[in-house]
Amino acid sequence: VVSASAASRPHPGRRVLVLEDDDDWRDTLGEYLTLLGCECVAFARAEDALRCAAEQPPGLALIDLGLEDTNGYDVARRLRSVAGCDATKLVAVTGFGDSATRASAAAAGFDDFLVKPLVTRKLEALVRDLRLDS
Amino acid sequence: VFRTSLEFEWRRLSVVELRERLGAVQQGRDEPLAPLLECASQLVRSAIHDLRTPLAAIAMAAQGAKRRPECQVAARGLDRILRSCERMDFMLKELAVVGRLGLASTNPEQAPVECSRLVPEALARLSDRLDMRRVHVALAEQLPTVRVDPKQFEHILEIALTTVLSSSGDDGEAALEASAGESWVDIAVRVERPPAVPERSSAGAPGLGVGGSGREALSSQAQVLRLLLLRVLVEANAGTVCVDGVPETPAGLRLRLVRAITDADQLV
Repeated sequence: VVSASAASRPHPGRRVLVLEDDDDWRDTLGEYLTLLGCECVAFARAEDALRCAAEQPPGLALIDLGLEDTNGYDVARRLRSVAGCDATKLVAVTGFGDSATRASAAAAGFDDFLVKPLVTRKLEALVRDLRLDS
Repeated sequence: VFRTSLEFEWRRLSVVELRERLGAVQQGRDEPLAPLLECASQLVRSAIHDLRTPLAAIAMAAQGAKRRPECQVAARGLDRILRSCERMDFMLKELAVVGRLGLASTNPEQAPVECSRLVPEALARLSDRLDMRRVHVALAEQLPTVRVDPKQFEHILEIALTTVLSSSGDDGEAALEASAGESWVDIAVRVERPPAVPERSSAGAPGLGVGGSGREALSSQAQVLRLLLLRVLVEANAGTVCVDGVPETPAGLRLRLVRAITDADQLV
């Protein structure tokens, strides 16, 4: 789990959940979100991420579509049914940018879509849009 | 073993070999091409996905380092890393187009479809993948019915537009015109406005303008492979393709699809 340093003082509304099974990419994403002033909680396993979301719903959830133990579509559907997560912005993160993958992500309940590798600009926009009053 | 040999074949394909394959398909000598393309497409798709995750980590780590005051001394090096990531991203996108298109090259399910409906609907779906602001469309009124696989037709248009837009450079534009003949429908896609800045700029230009031989070679390969796939798809739907210019940088493509015989035609 990656969390924000005390020095960065993240706003409580800027809680971001990351679900990604690639260690390097997860750690890098977590560190970057912390630099942007977010409180980031990052997991490799879907069950851990869902448990954390139930305890403290995030404002934004970045979910890898191709996970080892399940797939991101199922996680999105389950997250939507977690109490308090109905307002969470769900963003699919993937290396596949084709229209079929986008359509499947939208059908599963994702609000937005990040195609690797160059995601920083869009990620920064997503963080700026996070509610600051929660 | 098959997977390994496919991988090997993919890596050693040159433009000359691809052009030979293009000729072989034209002469009907290349029967097992479709399953080969399907396997190669899946391999390319998996490889692209697996390359994008580490590339994302490299690019974001460099972006993150640029935000830290203690890393300012290394800023130029980080910029070089980011430019290299952009170049790799460009190449992966080229591969992704080719990988996706090969999957569509088998088993056409042809049906009579009204061309006046088929073309606009396919273009609307393609706007998700292509920058349609760069494409000027002119369709003749009352285009007749053609006999094609609608899904493959969408891929045909995608290849044609991707090919011509690639030839027109990063800022260039393309024109798509559809007109009807006695027993056919012609769809012409051509470069309308060449890029403001020549694409083959000198090495060291900013952003994606870095004109290394690797990018140029890959782009040429991708163009010829796209034309190969285009020919397979169009001919599978009983149509023909003409290329204006050299295959590596075609200035235009003309697709001719056969008009379907309708009940009204039979009455006449």
